[in-house]
Amino acid sequence: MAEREPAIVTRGLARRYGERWALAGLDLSVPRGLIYGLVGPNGAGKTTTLRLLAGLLEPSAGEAWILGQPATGPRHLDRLRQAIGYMPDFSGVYEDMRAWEYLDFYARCHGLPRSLRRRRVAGLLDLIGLSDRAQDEVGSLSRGMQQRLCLAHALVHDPAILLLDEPAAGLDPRARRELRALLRELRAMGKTIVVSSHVLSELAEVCDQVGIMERGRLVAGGALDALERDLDPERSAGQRVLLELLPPAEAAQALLAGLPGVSLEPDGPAAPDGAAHDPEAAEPLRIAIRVEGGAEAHAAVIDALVAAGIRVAAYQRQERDLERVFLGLTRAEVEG
Amino acid sequence: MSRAAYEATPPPASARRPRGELNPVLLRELRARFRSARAFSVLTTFLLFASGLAWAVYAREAGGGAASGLPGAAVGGEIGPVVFGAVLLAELLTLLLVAPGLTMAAISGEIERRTYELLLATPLSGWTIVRGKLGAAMAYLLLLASSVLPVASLAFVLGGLGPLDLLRGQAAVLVAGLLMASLGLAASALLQRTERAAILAYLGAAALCLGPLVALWLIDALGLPDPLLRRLAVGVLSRSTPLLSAMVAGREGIFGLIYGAGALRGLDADAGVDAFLLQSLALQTGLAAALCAWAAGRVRPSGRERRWGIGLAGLLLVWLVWLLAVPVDWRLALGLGGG
Repeated sequence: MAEREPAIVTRGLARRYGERWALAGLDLSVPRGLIYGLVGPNGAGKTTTLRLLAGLLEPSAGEAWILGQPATGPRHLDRLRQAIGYMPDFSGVYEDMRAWEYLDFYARCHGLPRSLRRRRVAGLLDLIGLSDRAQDEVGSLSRGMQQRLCLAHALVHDPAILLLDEPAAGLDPRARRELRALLRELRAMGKTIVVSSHVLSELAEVCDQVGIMERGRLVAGGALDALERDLDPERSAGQRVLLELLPPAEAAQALLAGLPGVSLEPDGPAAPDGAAHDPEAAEPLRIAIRVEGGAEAHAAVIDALVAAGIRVAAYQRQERDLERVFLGLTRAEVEG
Repeated sequence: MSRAAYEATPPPASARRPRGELNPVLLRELRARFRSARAFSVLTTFLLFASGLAWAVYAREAGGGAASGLPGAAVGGEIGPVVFGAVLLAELLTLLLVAPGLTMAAISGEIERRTYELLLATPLSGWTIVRGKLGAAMAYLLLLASSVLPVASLAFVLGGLGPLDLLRGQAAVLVAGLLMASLGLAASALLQRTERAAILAYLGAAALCLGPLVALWLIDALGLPDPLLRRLAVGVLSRSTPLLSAMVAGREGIFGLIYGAGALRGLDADAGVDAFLLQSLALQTGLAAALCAWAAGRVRPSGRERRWGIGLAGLLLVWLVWLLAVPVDWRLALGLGGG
């Protein structure tokens, strides 16, 4: 895949609050048209990074470029605000406004003329699935709907870049799923999205690349597969799969280890109390493997198990293993 | 969900507000304010208070107050100015109480509601935000002031008043409202909690209204050795309190009942009244503008550190300019031991 042009670049970006450095020299490059996840524990500097990029804070040191243009300093604020849509952490809403008025207000703030404003508000309500609630007061909408409305406010001036700080915080599983779908839709529309979260599984499902932050620095950044390889060079590339095999399945491990492009994962689920799996037990055997290749490779694994007379109760492909990457990298940072 | 409609709309050419469009913050605030039941309950209460006070004063004056020799009856021997003064007093008290409350949550409320950053992420300037907030408060104060006009007009029937008196009175109370609303706005921008901003705003309002009166009394009682210094101090202090400007605008009227008849002796000539009133209103408007400019500097995060000094300097400059422009006959005008 050709190298994408960066939408956001920072060099040595830093911010100090009193004596404490919330961000201590961030070097970041976010390619255009991707969803980039900023991962890190509380206090890692994610929110400060997003606020700096949104022009809400001035850096104590360093520089940033948005879409190839300088983005630090008051002179660039107008251009920055046109290019960026920002949704802060724990953002609130004007509960006494109607849903359409809420978006209309921000459209006015961004200077959209009347004719465009109407179409834009209608389009956004449609995009977030709230067209039928346009006349309802924002206070009467569910938390998930309010969050979507808040996301829509960041889109009202059609920015090229979206900065979303913990957008899924406080949402129920259904609302989270809807939010993820919306993010994918926005990516398909060509937006560059930077999303921060400490709920790792959320980011793993939706992000093309991640940046892992710790103590105001970027510990690692890039595609998840590459990060996993960097973390454990011994580990081959591929996708992690959790298998549940019904007994008798003693031959499974040897069979799988012998298949091309398949390796057994050492940290897969074990039997209770770490005991070896009892072949006589009625419980299924759970093992984790890593499979290189696409759908054909996975189909070949299943075919091989079935051909050997092993009954497969579950074949669960794990999209990403961000938590393991995150823990590995942050532990290395702390120990280092 | 469909993205077709969203994608079909081209991006705006500029972040500047199109010509003829209302300030978005003003529009939002107006919608919120005039939809609330509280706006109309305050309006109703105010009208009942103003009408009740006007009626009580009229009944008192018409039913023998003049014969009793009480101070209010001494104003030209006509009831009109006293009734008008009563309406003006009700209006002034209401505006002094209501105005800081309209703006004390202007900025802190956005912070508490967690909408502040959303607002700051738009291209709106701090000054646009402050203008919108203040404009909405003033629109409500204007509604209050205009709603009482029919009651105030009854005073004309009783004689002793002209349209200019009505204009002077409305100008004095509206400028008082502007100053108090600006004070609330500045308190809200300074403190990020509405409760604290409310305390500061009302303490500031009390200090602005009563502080100059106390200082004038002290100057009169203790005396200042330097006549020029005394002249300048009294000139500024007497024009900075909305209570005195409203008293002058109300032709003493019911204020005479409070402060004592003849408290404004020396201001009988129209030229003296107008000069004092114009200077007072200019000073108070200048103070309000300085407070708003300072608040606008506080609203934008990039301006918080830098504009503090500029705002404060502006405030001092307004006062300094006024000190230099103080007329020489202020002491006679206020009857504070002239000659």
